[in-house]
Amino acid sequence: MALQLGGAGLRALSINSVSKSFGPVRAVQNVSVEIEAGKIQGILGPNGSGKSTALKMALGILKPDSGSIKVYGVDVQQSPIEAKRMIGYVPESPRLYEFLTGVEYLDFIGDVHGLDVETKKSRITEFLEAFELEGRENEMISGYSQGMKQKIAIIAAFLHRPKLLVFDEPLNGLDPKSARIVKDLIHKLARDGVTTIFSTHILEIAEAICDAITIMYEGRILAEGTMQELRSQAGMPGSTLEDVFMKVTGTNDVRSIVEALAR
Amino acid sequence: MNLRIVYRLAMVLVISQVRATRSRVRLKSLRRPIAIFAASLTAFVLAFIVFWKIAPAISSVGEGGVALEDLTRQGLIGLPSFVIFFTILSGLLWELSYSTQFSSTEIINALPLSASEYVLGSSLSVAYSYSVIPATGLGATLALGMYFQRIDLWMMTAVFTFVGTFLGAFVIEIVRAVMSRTSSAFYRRGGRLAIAIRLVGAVLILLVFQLAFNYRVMYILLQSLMTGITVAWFIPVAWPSLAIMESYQANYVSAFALAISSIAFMGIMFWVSVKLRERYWVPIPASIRISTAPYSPGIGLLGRLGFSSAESAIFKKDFRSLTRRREMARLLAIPAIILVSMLASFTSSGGELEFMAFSLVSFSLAVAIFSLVISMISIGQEASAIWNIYSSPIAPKELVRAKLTLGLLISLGVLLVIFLVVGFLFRPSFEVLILFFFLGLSLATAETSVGLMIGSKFPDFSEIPRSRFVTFSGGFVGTVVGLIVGGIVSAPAFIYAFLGQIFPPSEYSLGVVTVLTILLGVAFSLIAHKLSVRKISELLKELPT
Repeated sequence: MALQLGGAGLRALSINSVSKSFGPVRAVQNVSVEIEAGKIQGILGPNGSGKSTALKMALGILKPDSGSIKVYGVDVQQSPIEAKRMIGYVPESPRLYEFLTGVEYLDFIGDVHGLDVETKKSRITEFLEAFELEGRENEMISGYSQGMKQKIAIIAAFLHRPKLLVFDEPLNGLDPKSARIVKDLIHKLARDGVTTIFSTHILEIAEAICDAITIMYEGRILAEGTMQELRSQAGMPGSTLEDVFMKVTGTNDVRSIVEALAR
Repeated sequence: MNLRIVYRLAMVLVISQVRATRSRVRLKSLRRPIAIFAASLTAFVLAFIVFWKIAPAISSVGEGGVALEDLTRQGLIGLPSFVIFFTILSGLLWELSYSTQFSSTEIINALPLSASEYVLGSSLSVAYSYSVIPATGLGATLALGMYFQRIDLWMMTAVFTFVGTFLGAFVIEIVRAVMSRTSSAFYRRGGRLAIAIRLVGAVLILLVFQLAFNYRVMYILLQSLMTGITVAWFIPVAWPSLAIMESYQANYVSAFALAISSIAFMGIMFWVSVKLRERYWVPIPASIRISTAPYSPGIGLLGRLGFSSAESAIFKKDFRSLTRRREMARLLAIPAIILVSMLASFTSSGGELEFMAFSLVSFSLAVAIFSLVISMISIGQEASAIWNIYSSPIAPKELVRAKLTLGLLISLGVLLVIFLVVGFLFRPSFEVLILFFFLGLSLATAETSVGLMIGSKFPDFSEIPRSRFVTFSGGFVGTVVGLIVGGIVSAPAFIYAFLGQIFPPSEYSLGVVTVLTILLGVAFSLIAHKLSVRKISELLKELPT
């Protein structure tokens, strides 16, 4: 199945018939997604449904067993460096270099992306201020809370002004203000043509900010489209994304489980 | 106190330690706590058999009987003190090499355990984990004690070795609690200085540990222990040994008093460690402020030298990794350990070429092993944070250049220090010094390149309390290849030094040897560099899962 947003616009990400297995586990099976530049695409799915694997392949750090992936027309396997220059990535539970301070880590990221000294300085300073990390930037990351580490990872992804943002559960551990900043920033950047693809378990967020949603289950795409399209595919007009998600993934009957656990 | 919980906790901690140190051992039975018991029992039996067999043989030779009886006395008296010393030092070493990230994630703190249950369980695990050493000592002294019919003294030694093991384990618990309490405040105030002090302290502890097991140093220590122990009555950790000595000299009243005092002291240490544990229950992750200066980036020295910004960034990051991560101290201590151990073992009858041969061996080994190891771990030390490299637009050549430059520069720093030490101690001629310098340079370059090649072929990114950074087989292959390359590069110098003792060297031979050494170093560096780029290109194709 392939999702196309906005018709004939510039393709930011093209995932074509991609599959990936880890030993006997078929993590992603024949998945195709196409996202137009400037759109925000959410990927939903239960744990182990293949979301993170799909995102890692989109970034080019996992090699698909079959199929191809292009970022703004650049094949991520053929020209990985060129593709990575265009991408900002936040993994699920990002492991940072804990022996560096927050500002040293961001300086490192700025350098590997080739930012000039002045740009690097002004962007890092601005982001640290926006995410309320000023005053803690010279402390080693090992002493940061999970939320602070997440903020640093998000800043690092935004730092080089990427054209494609690949976020795996980006709002994990963020305080409400920082989460709002991230959401608003994604929207603002989308208006400037920056594309975002992100996975989340928080369905309200997906419903609120995504132009389109892909629901994955056991490595396959179960449903895709805008909110209205998903509701009509599920035959549930007027329902919430949570209801649609539960129905599509077949996990809607949780009452018996809850009752058993509460005994 | 629930002794069942104490036992369960001790076993969990032993399993954690066994798996941390033997995680890549394929034989599953070696990754179980029972393996330690089996090893200790085997060590005890083997030591007993060996000493039982050799005792009559030594006694029959001249003054051998007197010397052996003296050694038996020293062993029986000194064993408890040695075990206390060993347990404390090993415990400190374990704490040092324990990755920082594991120290603050102890789920154990959230469980309903009393402080005394925790301390006893943890101490039991320490005593059990280090039991091979006391078991070996007890096996050897049992054989000697039986031979000289001092089984009474051996029984006392056995009891006090047991007491000593727990005494050392309780001291370690106290150190842990104090470290948990003080490190946070210390780092917050100290910043860079605190990290530097930690690094130097760690290297010194490793050095002392290494020296403690050098046979010459051990002999001297044992001698001084025997002569000095009589005046050591005010040192509580010497009481177990003093009690045995007083018993040996038939001073039973003072032996009894010292024995009771030893056990009481162990009890006090237990009480102190429980109180400290109660007070500083949960370790607080240390918040380390490196600087207070505002962020002001620059191009940096490497940038001015023509390195790309990515190369310069990786270089800086890796340098900080080496100097700020406490598990890296063991690597930085390598050259000091090799040099000091060799100097401590060195005995000479004089002669310039003999000096040269000796300093060549120690010099080459120190430079080669350090360069090899520091480079071999450079890829695996990225650990789980390796995704940062994979997701960044870094070319394989840039990664190789950055990693090689750091390894080489640090090796050159070490080379300079060793060069000065060797030059100062042995005062070789100017020509020999030049040879030493180029030999060191060639070895550092070749071994750094070989190390990176091995490190990129066999990286180990797994995060365990005692990370190895290179797989077990990689470590083996790296050592063999490194030794071969080091041997070939330093072969001309060795041949010169050893043959020179038989045939007088000509005035040109030293120059020829120097040029040959450089050529060999350059050749191996180029080959290993090319292979490193290839291996890293393969590695960067897919994130390890």
